[in-house]
Amino acid sequence: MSTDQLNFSELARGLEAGAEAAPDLWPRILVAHTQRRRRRLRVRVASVLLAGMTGTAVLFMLPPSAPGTDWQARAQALEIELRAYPTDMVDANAREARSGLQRIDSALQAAYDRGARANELVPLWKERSELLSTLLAVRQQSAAITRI
Amino acid sequence: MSATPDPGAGFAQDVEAMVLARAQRGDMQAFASLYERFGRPCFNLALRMLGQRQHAEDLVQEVFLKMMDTIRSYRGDAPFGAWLKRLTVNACIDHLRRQRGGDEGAEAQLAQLVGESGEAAHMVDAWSLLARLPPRSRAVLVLHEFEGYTHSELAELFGQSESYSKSILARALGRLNALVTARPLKQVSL
Repeated sequence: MSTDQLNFSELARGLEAGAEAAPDLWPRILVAHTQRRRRRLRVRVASVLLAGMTGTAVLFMLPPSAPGTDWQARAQALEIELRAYPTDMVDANAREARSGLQRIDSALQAAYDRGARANELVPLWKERSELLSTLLAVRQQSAAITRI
Repeated sequence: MSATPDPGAGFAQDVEAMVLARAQRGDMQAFASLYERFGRPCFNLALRMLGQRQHAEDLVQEVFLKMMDTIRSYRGDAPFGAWLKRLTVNACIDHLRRQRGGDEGAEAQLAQLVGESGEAAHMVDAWSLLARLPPRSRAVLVLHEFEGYTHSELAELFGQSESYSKSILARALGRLNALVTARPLKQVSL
């Protein structure tokens, strides 16, 4: 391809000598740079705040101590076991346990109604399990005496 | 036929290690010093490739902002000017890719250019011819003829085959020559 008619070297020199950017280009670049830095800082601060809030919320929702026992499941299992024994036995300890159960059931119902969190519910289920254990022990004892 | 860059001018300027070190620490005075040296060659290259002052200035801004963000990753394997030139060329090619039409209309625009024989007789200079080339044709021609890029490098930059840039360049040069045959070039000016 012959390009003798086009003198690119001369053209390149002429362009180098002639082209000049606007004098305010550098100040414009500085402004854009500052704006970008501010925007990035805002995003960073917002991310840190969001992470902090999320972490706090997760901690707040966790039970106060590590849940070694599922007290709700244990209470339900004890209740099933308790059904195997006659309910007409009258004993002071059994009456006290049943009264306690009614109180806890009311407290549990109220807690669920107001959307209480695990840290409030778990102690109630624990207390219910303990009372059911007591009641079960009483009924087992009474059944043994009756058989004798 | 490619124009040889002047050593000590344009992108070939040396930069003191201290200035680079300060820039890598985010020193604004060092950035200003780099702009003072390289703002003009960067603008010249962008103007030649893009053909419009406003686009070229926007591109210089984009390149210097990117340079400020990425200069910490500059390891000094190549001269700073070559690194900045690469940033500029890549930004120009990205700009061309973003432009609607790309090079699809290159053939039609070249044909129209040649067809305007009456206007060709009144051409002011070769720059006005270059400025009227389709964007990608102009970019390929500028990089090959002025900046000394090989077809292999152009193929890599544009993500095309070597025959692509050879074809674009051959057609662009052929049409430009056809235009200036009747009338010699006048003094180059912008």
